[in-house]
Parts: sequence; structure tokens; C-alpha cells
Amino acid sequence: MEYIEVGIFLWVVVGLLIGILVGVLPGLGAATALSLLVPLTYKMDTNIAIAFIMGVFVGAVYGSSITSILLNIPGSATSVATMFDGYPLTVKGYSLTALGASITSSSIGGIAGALFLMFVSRYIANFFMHNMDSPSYFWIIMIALSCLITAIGKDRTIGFASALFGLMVGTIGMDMMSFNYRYNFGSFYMGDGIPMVPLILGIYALSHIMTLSQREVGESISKSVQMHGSLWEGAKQTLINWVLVIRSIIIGAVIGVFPGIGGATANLVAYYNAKSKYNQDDTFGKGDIRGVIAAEACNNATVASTLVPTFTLGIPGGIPAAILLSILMIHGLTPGPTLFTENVDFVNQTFVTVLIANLILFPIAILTLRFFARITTVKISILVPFLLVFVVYGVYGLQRSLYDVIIVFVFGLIGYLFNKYNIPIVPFLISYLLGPMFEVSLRRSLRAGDDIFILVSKPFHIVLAIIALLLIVGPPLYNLFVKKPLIKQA
Amino acid sequence: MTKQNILGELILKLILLIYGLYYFIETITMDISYNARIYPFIISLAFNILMIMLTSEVFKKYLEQAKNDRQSFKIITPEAIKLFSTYAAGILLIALTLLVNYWLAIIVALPLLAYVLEDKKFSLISYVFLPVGMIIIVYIIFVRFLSVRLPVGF
Repeated sequence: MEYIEVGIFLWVVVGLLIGILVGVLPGLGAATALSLLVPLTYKMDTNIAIAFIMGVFVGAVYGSSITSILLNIPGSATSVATMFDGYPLTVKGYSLTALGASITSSSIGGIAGALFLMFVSRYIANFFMHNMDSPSYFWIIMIALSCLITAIGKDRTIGFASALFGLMVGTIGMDMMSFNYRYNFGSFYMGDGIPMVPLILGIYALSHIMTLSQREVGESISKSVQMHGSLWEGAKQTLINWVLVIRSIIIGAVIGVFPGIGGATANLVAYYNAKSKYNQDDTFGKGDIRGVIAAEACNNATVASTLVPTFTLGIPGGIPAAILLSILMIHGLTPGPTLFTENVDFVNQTFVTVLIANLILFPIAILTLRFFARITTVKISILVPFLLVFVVYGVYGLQRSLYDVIIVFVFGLIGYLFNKYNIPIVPFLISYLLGPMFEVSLRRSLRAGDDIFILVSKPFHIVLAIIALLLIVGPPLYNLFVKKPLIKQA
Repeated sequence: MTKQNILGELILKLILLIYGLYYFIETITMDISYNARIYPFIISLAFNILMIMLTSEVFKKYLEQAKNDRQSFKIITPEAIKLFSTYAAGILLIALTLLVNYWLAIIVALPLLAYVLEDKKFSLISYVFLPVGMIIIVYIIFVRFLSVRLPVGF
């Protein structure tokens, strides 16, 4: 009870409201919402900053489902699967029923995910604290980078190129082992490397603003929002389908732990899993409430589980978790196993905050549903100037550095061009964040031993190496030996 | 995909390739230890191989398209103007902030961008209400009433 304070509670509510507000706007998902709001947390107390940001995170993931159901436009990649059955339900006149199911399953999924975070992360941190050395870190990061293969998408070549570009950008600045300057074009400012917050704000927030600005004159995201059906019927359906809810939560909690994959993949996996199990009457895709329940329970469960590697190892489970990582660093905290011993109060406070955010999501979502659905009718020409001011001042306020603003503009342009020419941003960003850790752990390992076999000198290293190898060669082998014969049979 | 789009993609990939080559050459030539060089050498080598593959692929596509599509380029489209204006408004905002202060920067840049995005009504309203609103809310309420000290620059 000592961690439940009125101030924290209020900041969670504020965060939830802002998160839903941004999440409702198509294209501006949890990652954009968090990147836009990072500057607000600079001067906040650490616990309040985390409470606010967790509220935003939970709210944005839920908020993006509103437009998926009402308008057939996913608020973000985490609610794509919600659209498959949510919008057909709206067409049939059951929009409120679909939203009721979405709110209830999101809340249950979020609470279960928070409990998973509370109970699992401490054990993981404890385990790693006693087993981690440089080669282990090297393999853990290798596993994280291997997970990117799933996040890369269909075009592997361009995905790998994006990831390698991220690794290269991560090496700019002073080499932390030999203290030499590298790839800084002789610039004094670039000596410290490319700062994380301006890069994230540029590549996510500014690039989205630039894309939005190209819309038609006077265009808003939607023209009108009409709602029919019953919220309570949706809630009832969620409780009736409790087995499906639990299955989807487990899928979300497990997938969320793997870096770079997150809610975007998890909601699709949960949806197709539900479809394979319950689609005997061929109702999925035509307005089956179970499709909405599976996708929403799963994507909110990933919110907490993406924090497990972030807190225990300092490896972000997804882009929102990466932004959270940057907030922790701004507030002088170092994520990793030691966080659980040196900052016990902070960790407990964060767990309680995640739980509170998910508990109060339900009443807040019910009360504000109609208002937030109308937000999508705001004109783009009003939205864009305000968002632009927010991004530019947000990054300039960090340390009043013009260099930070230049980074935002450069990476804003890069993000816009990447989106325009279908180059995935997720591999770039995750690699940029993991690259420096990867290099340092590799070089420390090689310096500690005489040869490269130091990397497989303990059974624990070998286990990690096998996992990494399976993640790299597994998907192509699966496609070669399992998927193709099935296609031939069909 | 239009010829213009393919050319855009080709230019982007060429820039990435040039950056990759710069990185690779700097890795080979710079005066640092072997240990500090090996990791950047591997990633830049892999990046350059992939970028050469990708660039040549787009270049072939562009040549094919150029044979069939003989239409001239339209670089200045309404969308491009809006995109450029948004980018320029951001630069104007920070330039005015550095040269004058936050207040004037917002009052000038925000309605100007709304005007460029062809929302003349909102632009006019914000030209009138932004200064008035700022004075009422920030100055009277925060400074006079609540005695809050504004940050430097305001």
C-alpha cells in the first residue's frame, strides 16, 4: 500500500487520457505518443515520470483499437488484428459491443501482463545477476538481434540493411573502450554520438507529422463517428470466452519478452491462433467478437511483458520500451539486474504503477469512449502545427542544444523517407540501441580471453548461443521444410 | 510505382551507399587499435554489400521504367509543397526562438504553417487568439496571479 499515492494515481490518469487521445489518431501509436511526451518528463520526479509514461503507454495501446473498430483504420500496428473483426461488427451495427469487448479484454490482458511482470522479472534479474559475464551479455544481445529477423518483415535484404545502418549509427562518437573518436566527421558535437531522445523524436514523431501534412486540404482523419450496440454485451462476451482470453494473454506475455517483436506481431499471432481454434463456422473476419477479444487481450498483455527485458537486462522489448529506457537514463537509473537490488523502491513503484494503470483503464475507457471517438474528426491542418511545436520545443528543452534540434530534423527526414520507400524502421532503431552494448560486450569478452572460444567457455554461453542460432536459422529452415511441402499439397 | 518514385528510392539508396562507403573507408584508414576496428569493419562491409545489391536492383527498375514512361518529372507537387513547408516551419520555429523568443516563434510559425496547409480560417483565428491567449493564460494567470517565474527565453 505504501506505493499507492494520490499524486502517482493522478499522473497515471493524466497519462491514460493523453495516451488514449494520441492512440486514437491513426498512425500515432504508443511509440509516437511516448516519443512526443518524453520532454515533459525531464523535470518530473522519477516515480511520477514513470507513472505518467506508463499511463500513456497503456492508454495508447488501448486507444488505437477505437479507430480499428469504428473506422477500419488501425491507430497503430498493435491493433491491426482488432480491425479484422472489429470493423465488420461496426458495419453490422454492433460497434459498442465490439468496443465493450475491446475495453474489457484490454483491461484483463493488461492486469495479467502487469502481474506477469511483477512475478517473473525479479526471478529473471536474480538469475542473470549470478550468471552474467561479458560473453553472456554478448549472446543475450545476439538473441535480441536475432529476434529482429521476425520484425524485419517480408523483404529480408532491406530489413538487414536497415538493422546494419542502425548498428553503424550506434558507433558514431567516442569509442568507449579505446576512447578514440569515430565517424564524427570531425565535429565536436558528434563526438558524444547521436543522442537517443532526439533520434527517436525525429524518426517517429517528426516523420509522422511530415506524412500527415501531405493530406488533402481540410481533411480530418474521419468524417463522422456513429456507435450502436451494447458495451455491456461486449464485456459479457469477454468473460464468457475466458479460455480464449487466457490463451491470448499467454501469447502476448511470451512474445512481448522478445526484443523487437512486441505487440505488433503478438496481436496477429493471437488472432490467427484464435481463428485456427474457433473458426469452425467460418465467422472470423466477418464480425466474430472472439477476434476482437483475442487481439486486444494479447496486445495489452505485451505492454508489461516488453518491460521484462528492459528492466532486467537493459535491452528494450520494443520501441515504447526503448523510449522508457531513455527516460530511466535521463533520470539517472541504469536498467539491468542491479536495478532490482539498488533501486528496489523504484522497481516496486513501477510494478504497482503498471497495475494501477491497467486497473483504471476500464472505467476511464468507458467514461471517455464517445469523446475520444470524436477526436478523429479534428482537421489535420490544426493537428500538424501543434504537434510540430511540441516536437521542436520538446527536444530543444532537453538541454537547449541546437545540435539536438538538427538531429531531430535529420532523422525526421530519414524516417519519412524510410516510411515512403518501405524501409522498416524497427530494425534500425533496435540495432541503434543495442549496437554499442553488443560491441562493448564482444570486445570485453575477447580481451578477457586469449581467443574467440571464450564466447562458448561455459554451458550457459552454449545454451544462449544455441538459442541465438535457432532464431537465425529457424525461420528459413521452417519455410524450407515445413511450409513449402504444405503449399505443394494444397 | 511511378518513375519519380523509383528515382526517389534510387537517390535514397545511393545516399545510404555513399554513407556506407565513407564509413568503410574511414574504418580502414583511421588510426585506431585493431580491436576497435574489427566490429565496424564487419558491419560496414555487410551493409555495403547489401546496399550495392539493393541499389543495383532499383537502378535496373528505374532503367526499365524510363524506357516505357517518357513523362516529365513533376517535382513541385502540392504534397511536396506541404511537406517542405512543414519542415521549413520547424526550422523557422527554432530560428525565431534562438533569435527572438519562444512567444514570437509560436505566434509566427504556428499560424503560418496552418496557412500553408490551406486552413486559412484556423490560421486567422490563431493569429488573433494565440497572442491574446498567451497573454491571458501565461502572463495574467501564471505570472501575475500564481507568481510563477517563466523559463529563460519566454
